[in-house]
Amino acid sequence: MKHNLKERLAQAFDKSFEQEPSPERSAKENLLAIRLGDRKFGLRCSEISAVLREQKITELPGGLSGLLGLLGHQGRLVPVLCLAHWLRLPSLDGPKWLALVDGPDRTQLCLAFEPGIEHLSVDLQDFVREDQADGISGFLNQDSPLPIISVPSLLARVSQMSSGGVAS
Amino acid sequence: MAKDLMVYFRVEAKELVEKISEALLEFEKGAESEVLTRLLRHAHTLKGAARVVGQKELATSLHAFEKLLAPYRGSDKRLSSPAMSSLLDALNQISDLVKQLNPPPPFEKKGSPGLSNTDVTPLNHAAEAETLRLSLRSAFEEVYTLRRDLVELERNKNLSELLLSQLRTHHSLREAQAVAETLKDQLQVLNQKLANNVERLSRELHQAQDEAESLRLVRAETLFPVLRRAARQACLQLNRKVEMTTVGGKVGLETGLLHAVQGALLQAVYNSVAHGIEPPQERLRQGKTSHGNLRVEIFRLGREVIFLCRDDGRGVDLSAARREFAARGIDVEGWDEAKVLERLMGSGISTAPEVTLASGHGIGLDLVREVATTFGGKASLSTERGIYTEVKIQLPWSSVVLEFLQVSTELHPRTGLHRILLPFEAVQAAILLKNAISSYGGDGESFVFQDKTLTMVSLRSLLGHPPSGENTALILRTSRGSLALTVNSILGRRTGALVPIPAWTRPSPFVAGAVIDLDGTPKLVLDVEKLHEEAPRLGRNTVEPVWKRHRLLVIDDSLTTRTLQENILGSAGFSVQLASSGEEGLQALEESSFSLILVDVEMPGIDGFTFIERLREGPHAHLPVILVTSRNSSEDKARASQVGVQGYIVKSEFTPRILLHTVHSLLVPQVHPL
Repeated sequence: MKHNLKERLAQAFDKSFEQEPSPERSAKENLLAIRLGDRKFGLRCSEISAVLREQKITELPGGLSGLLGLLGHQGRLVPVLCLAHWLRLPSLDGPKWLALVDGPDRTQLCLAFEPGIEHLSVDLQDFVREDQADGISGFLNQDSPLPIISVPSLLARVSQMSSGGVAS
Repeated sequence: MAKDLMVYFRVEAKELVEKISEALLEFEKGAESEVLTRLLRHAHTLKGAARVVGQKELATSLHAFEKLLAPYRGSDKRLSSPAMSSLLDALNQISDLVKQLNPPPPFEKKGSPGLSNTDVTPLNHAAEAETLRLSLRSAFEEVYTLRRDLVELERNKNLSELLLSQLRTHHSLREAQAVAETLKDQLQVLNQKLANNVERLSRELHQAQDEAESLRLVRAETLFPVLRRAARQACLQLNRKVEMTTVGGKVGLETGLLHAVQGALLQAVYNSVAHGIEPPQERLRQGKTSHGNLRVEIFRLGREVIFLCRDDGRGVDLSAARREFAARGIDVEGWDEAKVLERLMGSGISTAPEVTLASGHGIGLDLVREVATTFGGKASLSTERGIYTEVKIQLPWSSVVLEFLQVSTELHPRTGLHRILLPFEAVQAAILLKNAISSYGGDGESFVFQDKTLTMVSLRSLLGHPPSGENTALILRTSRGSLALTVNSILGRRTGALVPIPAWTRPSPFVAGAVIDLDGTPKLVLDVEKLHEEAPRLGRNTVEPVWKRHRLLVIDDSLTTRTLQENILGSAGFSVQLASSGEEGLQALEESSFSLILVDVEMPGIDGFTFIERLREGPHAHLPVILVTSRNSSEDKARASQVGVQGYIVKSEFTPRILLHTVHSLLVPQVHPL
């Protein structure tokens, strides 16, 4: 009896590889809803490495516009950018949480937003894609549409502003 | 044998070989019994330790070394050249055996025949040490997060106590009260446990971090005995006399870098002895001393660590080098001296007149250049026929650990204390100022130190804030002379590795990089060379603080008060326009733009409150306003609040500091610690 069960399980396991991936599971995307002033935005989980909170930021004299400063993370210096500034919104006061994102060549930087995150698992069909203007790649269709931030597009803009440093 | 014991032995053996080497060279100079005793003691200690860990061959070699020295005990006999040669050979053999205790070094480079790298400090576990160090840093960051969680837990405990006190008043909620009591007790226990664990973990991590740092870094001066021994050995082989001087070497180098640089410097030293420094008779004929002079220097300059090897020998024969290039089919037409020297580095062409055992194969300079470029630096050669030859290696200081002086400047209360690091060896003196700096006129400021007038720069101004309470002037030594930097306080010395700031963030030129604290906070490091270079412009455009660009409107019917405010604000760098009445103030607003208004209440014509009411109705409604008044009643303050005043200064409490602080708090963008 036991032997049969083992065989059945083995067969079921082998068969599972023949099946197509579940459309329901593959069509989902994980988002973090964040807040900038009175507006909400979505960040794709796949585009961020971690969310850091309560980090000490050291101001940098000079410094690129929209740069809040630097923080140390795992022995490396990580520049912190004001996300609101790069989305052309009024800059934020007060404490911030940070999304750690990967830049090129194993570099990292942080995007600062207001404290608090909300996790969303959403259907891909609910996305409305748009040109990646101003760092927004599209909207999530819900009661009030949620703009989705495109991290690669933001990094490209930062790179452009800093004369080709960050992404080149 | 225990693996741990071998780890300790490797470290001890390396140190003892260095000490033996130093003492042997010292003993050769003058046969002092104290030096011989020390030399024998080191050799004996190493022999004993080698026996303990079962290194029989090493113990036998040390025994033979001791026997060579035995005849000098209790006598004034000096070491002869052949005896010294035998001792050096024996020491090389010992050094080889010690080297074999380690895994092969990661940086193996070619070198001149006859130039063994037996003296080279082996590099073990450099990569592992780095990984360990980074892991420890991450762990520290976690500890600091845990500490913050502890504070939160404490807050929750307090909440449970509050809940309890509320429940106690409702008897019907006795059951809930019991639950809350249990909750409180559990939180208490958990809080204590967590606090103890965090403290213990923190202590252990600190210890491990220190060990990892020491494993990774070695002071550059540890290269000197090895180089001295190499020079001595080359002198014996080639019949030269050399006086070697070593300078500096206080910087910490990663073991990988140290190993590579050692190889390059060994090569440079051999080159100098072999075909730089002339034989004694030739030197005497040229009016030089019979012994050649060889100077090795290691120091930090700006953002680089410099390694210099300079001899006062015959210099490089550039004509011979040109002929050699031409013989290889290279067109040297139009090459100036600099070009020839540049091409000599890494050309494979030798600067030696003839090939010897130690040099002349043209590999040496190539190795020097290769080491420099491997670590992101450069190597150069300079010479003057018959006078000197100098090999220079410049490496970025990001690969070294330095000692810093930590200074602070209290910025705006909401931004907290700013801590800045300065390279320690650049600090010449610290002088307590009689009067703290409360204003700063930029490039006009100067400071007299030892009868010299120095340019003075305010640290707070550098960071974009008005000076306040800077009561210490640090005299910084740079390649251009000296510079005075005013700071609020000195916090002490610390060491650290400089981490470069990504260039795309466009930091000010005088920021060299940062040292990251164990809790993850970066501390900026000033580049004193750049600071001195930029100092004449610092008061104007280069780092013009945001607050200096503001234009302020001062409205007061009293000439004295107006002038006083103008003086204080003007000397702090603000542009100030004066008005003697509310009406005049409104007129000024129509003609120019302002960032902030300071206004009196009691004035002829419209009073200050009416002025503000009219201001709030017009296009400049958003402007911040500070009332500077002799009125101090609660009614006046309530009225001020009602009309939208952002600052309130009572004239009886008026001081320059309060005025500047209030203005500054309304103008400088607020940055909050997270």
